[in-house]
Amino acid sequence: MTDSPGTTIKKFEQREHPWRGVAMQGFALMCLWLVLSGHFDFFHITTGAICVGIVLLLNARISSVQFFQGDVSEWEHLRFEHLLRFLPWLAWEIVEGSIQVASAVLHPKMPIEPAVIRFRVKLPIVGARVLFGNVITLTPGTVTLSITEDEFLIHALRRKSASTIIDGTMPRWIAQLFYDEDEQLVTSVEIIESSKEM
Amino acid sequence: MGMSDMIAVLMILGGAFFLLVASIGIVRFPDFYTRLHAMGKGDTLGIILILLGLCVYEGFTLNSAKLLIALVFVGLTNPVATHALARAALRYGLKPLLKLDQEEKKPSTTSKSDALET
Repeated sequence: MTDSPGTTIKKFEQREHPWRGVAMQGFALMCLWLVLSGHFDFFHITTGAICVGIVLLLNARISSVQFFQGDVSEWEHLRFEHLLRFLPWLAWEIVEGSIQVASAVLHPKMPIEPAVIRFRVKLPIVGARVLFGNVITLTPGTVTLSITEDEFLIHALRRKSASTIIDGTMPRWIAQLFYDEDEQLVTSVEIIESSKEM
Repeated sequence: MGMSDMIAVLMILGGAFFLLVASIGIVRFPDFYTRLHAMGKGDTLGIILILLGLCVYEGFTLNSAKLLIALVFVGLTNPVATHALARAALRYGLKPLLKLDQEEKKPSTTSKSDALET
């Protein structure tokens, strides 16, 4: 349960199922083909299978490229059962955030208090950080401005809209998509409310 | 008109409402970054609701599967585009107008003239 980040990284280096990623990619591509084509006869399915095969061959070399130092193919470790629990939570966050932003827009006095927040987050996996940045931007009221190593710079419309990020709820959800995590992941939070301090 | 049609109409109307709010937000908000919130994300829920509403209207068919795929792609590309804009602005050196700057500039009035200036 309480793995230190060092051991978690080590765990990702040993690939348990090297073919799982390829198989999932092929399955997803085939589903996409079937849905978009809408024809289920022999000819169309064979053509689709050939195309999927070509794409997989081309992609096999891309996935062996390292984009970042210490990058490992972490997407194979994405835990789908956690993803299914995460998506409803994300949907609710989007709804709640949208209503807050909408009320701020329509309110005659427009009660916004824009702030830039800088913090560090302990997510050793590059894919998790990318996902975290995207989820921050996807939830209304917060935008990721920049990510350098583990330091995030985000812009929040109101301080309340960034509350689930600062208290570590959102990064914990992201981390749990890949491994078990119970610690506090967000550290050294710095809220900037004047552009002179930037 | 069946139950599913009612739900579909309600969802599409809700989506249209959020898109409208996003457009109003672009006009009302004071600076680039806050407008980005309205533009990039105010419409997240709007598009999700409209596409889901169309799915409900369409029923369990191939077309609604295609709509769901469109939904996934919107969900993936929308934040990436928004982040790209924000990052480009930050790199260019555009300073965000934050809470204390606002109070300095014009105590307790945020109005149309403000939006027109910038």
